[in-house]
Amino acid sequence: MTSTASPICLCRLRGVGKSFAGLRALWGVDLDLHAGEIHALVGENGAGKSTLIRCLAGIIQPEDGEILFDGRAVELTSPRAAHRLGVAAAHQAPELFLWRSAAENIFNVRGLPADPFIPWKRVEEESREALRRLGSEIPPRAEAGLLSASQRQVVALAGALIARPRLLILDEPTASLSEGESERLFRVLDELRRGGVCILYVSHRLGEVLRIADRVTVLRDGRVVRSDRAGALDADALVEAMVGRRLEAYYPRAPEHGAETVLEVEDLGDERGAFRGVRLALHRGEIAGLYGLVGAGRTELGQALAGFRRARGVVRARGSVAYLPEDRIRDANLPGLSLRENLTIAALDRIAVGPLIDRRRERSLASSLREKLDIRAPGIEGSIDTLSGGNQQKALLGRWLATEPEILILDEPTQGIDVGARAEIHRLIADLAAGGCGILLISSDLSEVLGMSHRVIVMREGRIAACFASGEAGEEDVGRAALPEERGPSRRHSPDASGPPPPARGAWSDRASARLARFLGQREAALAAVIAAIIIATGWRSSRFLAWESLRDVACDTAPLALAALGQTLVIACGAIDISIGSMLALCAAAAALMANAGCGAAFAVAGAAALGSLLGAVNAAISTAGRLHPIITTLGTLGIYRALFLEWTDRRWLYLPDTLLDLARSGPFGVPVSVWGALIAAGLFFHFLGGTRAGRACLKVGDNPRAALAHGLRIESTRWLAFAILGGCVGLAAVFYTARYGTVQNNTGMGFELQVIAAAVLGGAHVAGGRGTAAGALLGAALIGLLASARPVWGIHERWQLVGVGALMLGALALETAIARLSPGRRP
Amino acid sequence: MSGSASSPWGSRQTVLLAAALVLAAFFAVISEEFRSPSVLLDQSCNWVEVGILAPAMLVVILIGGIDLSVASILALVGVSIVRLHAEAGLPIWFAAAAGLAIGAAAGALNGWIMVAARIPDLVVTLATMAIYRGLAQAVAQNRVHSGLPESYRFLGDGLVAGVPAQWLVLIAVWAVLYTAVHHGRFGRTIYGTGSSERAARLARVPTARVRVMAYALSGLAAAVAAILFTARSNTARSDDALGFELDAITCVVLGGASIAGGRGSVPGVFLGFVGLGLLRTGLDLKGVDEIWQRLTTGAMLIAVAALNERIAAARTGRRRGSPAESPASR
Repeated sequence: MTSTASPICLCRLRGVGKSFAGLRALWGVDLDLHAGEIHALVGENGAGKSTLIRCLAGIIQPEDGEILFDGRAVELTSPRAAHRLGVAAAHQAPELFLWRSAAENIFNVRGLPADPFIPWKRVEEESREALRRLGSEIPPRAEAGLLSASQRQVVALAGALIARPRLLILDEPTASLSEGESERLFRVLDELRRGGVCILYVSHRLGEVLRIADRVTVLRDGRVVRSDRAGALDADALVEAMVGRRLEAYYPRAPEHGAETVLEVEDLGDERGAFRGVRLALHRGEIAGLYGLVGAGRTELGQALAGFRRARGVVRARGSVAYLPEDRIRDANLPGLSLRENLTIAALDRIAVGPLIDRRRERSLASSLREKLDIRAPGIEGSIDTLSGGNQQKALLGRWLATEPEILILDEPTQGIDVGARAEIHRLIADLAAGGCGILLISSDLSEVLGMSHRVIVMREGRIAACFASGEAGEEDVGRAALPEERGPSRRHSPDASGPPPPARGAWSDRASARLARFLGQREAALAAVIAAIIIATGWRSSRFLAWESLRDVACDTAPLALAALGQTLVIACGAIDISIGSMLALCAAAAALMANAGCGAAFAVAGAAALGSLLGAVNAAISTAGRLHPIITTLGTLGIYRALFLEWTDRRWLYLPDTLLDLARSGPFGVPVSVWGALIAAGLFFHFLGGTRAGRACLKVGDNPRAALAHGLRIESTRWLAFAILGGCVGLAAVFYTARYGTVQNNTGMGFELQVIAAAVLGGAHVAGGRGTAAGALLGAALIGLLASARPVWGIHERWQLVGVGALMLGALALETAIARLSPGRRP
Repeated sequence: MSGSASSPWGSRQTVLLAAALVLAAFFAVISEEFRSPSVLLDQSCNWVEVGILAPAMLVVILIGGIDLSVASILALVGVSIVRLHAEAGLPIWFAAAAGLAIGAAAGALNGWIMVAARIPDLVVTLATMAIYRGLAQAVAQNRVHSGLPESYRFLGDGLVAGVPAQWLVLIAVWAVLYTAVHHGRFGRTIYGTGSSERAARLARVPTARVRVMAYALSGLAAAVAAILFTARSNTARSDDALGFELDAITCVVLGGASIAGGRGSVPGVFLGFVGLGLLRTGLDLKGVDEIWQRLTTGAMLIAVAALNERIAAARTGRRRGSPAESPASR
């Protein structure tokens, strides 16, 4: 545990400051990080720890001060820039690509190998090695979206390890590790320290910190209050430094509460394991403070009590429950709407006469709330976005006052607002309690909790750990009760361990993931089985259907669909969609026909069509990017534009294809037409591109989790450009093969093509929200739809049912998938 | 000018009104026919259906959705009414009522699929666009149906005190939707859902029901449009109204609505509708090919939508129109 005699300063922070929305999070922080040390960073919630590590990891940039690496000032403009300097961070709630495997996510920081074909074996081996080093049994192939929160954290840890950092930042790494896993981590950290790595270790577990750290820095309210050798500190000294002696703030006192219970909770457990065994009662006029560290389950408990989170147990509420969420920007504000509309949205019953809103009544309600809450706004008609944070919060409180609730659940009501507004909100809360409202006040501000509440409930790791009556406990008692217990038998119950009893959740989740992975692997098998069944059944009905010529025709019909479906799969995987491809197909077909009729060879005509298609696809991407438009609107517009250009170009006359092009769909090597070969080769290329190249993986990742993509330095816009251009090229090829089959280019050529292609892609497993899609799936999806079209006449079904069937098939497949996702745990909500 | 995204009147409407007047003046100068009220009146009738689809499309777009299936619903309802009357022998007004029910049900089905199976609005209506069109073909059996009674056709070509009856229907539809969107409870829940679906749900707005109702309204509007369409043309075909959804969406976007939801107004869309109608009528009368009209519509849709997103982003100070927050990625 001794540091080297003359420590090498790896990284130095000088006067680093940062504020958010006018609120200071860091004040001139100085910090020296030495090579070969474990440097612990401790402090209460909101002390500025995460802001500090986010600055070091390049996620945010400080406003004041400088960061020096090896004595030179550096700008950490992005996580990539930080990574180049040797910084790797494992955050508490890491951003992962949820459809990708654990192994691939482990390579997020370091980047996948740049080989021409990504060596997945090696990636998996290295990942397994890194996971084994951490004592984890997570299979490298497990889908990240199916991992539990603690497993995701282990993945992030492993990723930070294989990046071979010089500065390793760990945020609460043991929060959800078992004892054995923690010990193993400490051993790894010790090895790294010996190897000269600096580890910045953020933790609430003071015993652990004192045991493994060389030095400890304590942050409080954004300032460094103490920085010392670990040997010179003990737990009490740390708690004192963390909590400090605050100025005694004035808190308005609510009068004694009534005896009547308004809310009763018995044995409440969260379905996803954030809390369990919760029992509490709230009385009329009582303020119950709910304190706990981040991740202790308080927010989740509040959501469950308000009815916005599924939980098992008994909740008896006498009266209406109002809920003010923690993240008001994301969860409460109705941006763009006026203060008036924001104030009255929950109380429409009070201002409506039948189906109509009584404007006069509404204005008087809104105005009276504005006065009562002293919301500083020029009027009630201005947009809520223009108000300051404190006034927004008062308005959201007002929204619930308008409903005259019996029970009020407030999650961090004063977080991030200025002192004046804070005091006013405290006065309001006390007034409400005096008026008989039972209030559950969730807060990480100790002095607020102690100052406001009749009773303080402390949550720790998903359970209620302690309960103090007002005046019975001081800040240090409450603060200590909230800290996780040091190593002991009960530590095995990590917040995630509440699932079914043994086998532990990890193993169970792995099994579920394996099952789902098997199903998804079977999507191709299932499609192939359906295709085979249709072929056999149709052949049964009409043996001519099984003749070589007939099957070749089916393949010819399928080829253009398959080509376009491959491209569309790529675009959908990126999180976009292109509905202009029908018109694009017509334009490209016209180009090919005109070129061929002018005497060009078939190869030239095909290349010309593909080039034109790529151009048109790139135009779609360019418009979406430049106009910041969703691809739906862009391609809905170009759908009309391309069709118009096509009609203008052909002058509404049919174009006839010369034999050179018609032959493409008639003959080819081994008796298989060129068009079919084209589709098969394209499928092979896509298979390689999506599965084996970094650009292909980038397409999947950009659609999977754009925030993670940004954080890991992927270029979202150029990835989309590429996908759209490739789709265009595919449609160009498809155009030639499509028209070669029918011999003419007509005014309505390609109409409805987009639906068939999107349906094929979706059936093949492309996920409409982005992030998933395979070449084999697209090929099989297209084959199924092409086959349905060919088999339909055999069964005597009229052509008009074709589109109905395709549309219904697509919706059915998506609905089935939603149903399966609901049955599997851990899937994104 | 009021700052709220839901206010019915604002600078956009002034600009649109000015643009429409300039457009009208321009065509009046260059086209003699455009100056003739009877020609204009006659031409306006071609726009009634889009005029009825547009305000309902606004409601759908306000909640952050999009409805590509309206034209197919229109065709389905049209052929259903005519067949129910001419072949099943149902009295015409019963047939029309059944048509309205079919339209509303088809729309509600769209919304229900989105809510129940969590499929994005675009994908659902893209699929039902094909499904409802296919059903229309199945009902029509490849024939053109006609034979509607005089009383019904009055809706299409009759005059009430010199005003076309279809105009009266059009005005009624706009009046009802103006009231519902800007003065009704329904409108509040619509704007709330479009502004932030999550926040609206936490404020106890029944967002799922709102979505189903918005799409049901869109289907109902398509059915009303189908009644006027069949009454005027005295026929119904399964390929009626192709492309009407694009015109309706263009009106909404021209009217200043944000495709990301939460921003737009009925008067704005009305002016967008008048502007698009004037432009296309003028081009028609000048003998400009339909191809070029199609091209202008598409280009205008893209240009104005991009402009709207810019304005919305500037107003709220963040990138609300960024690709991550739009109908397909909901």
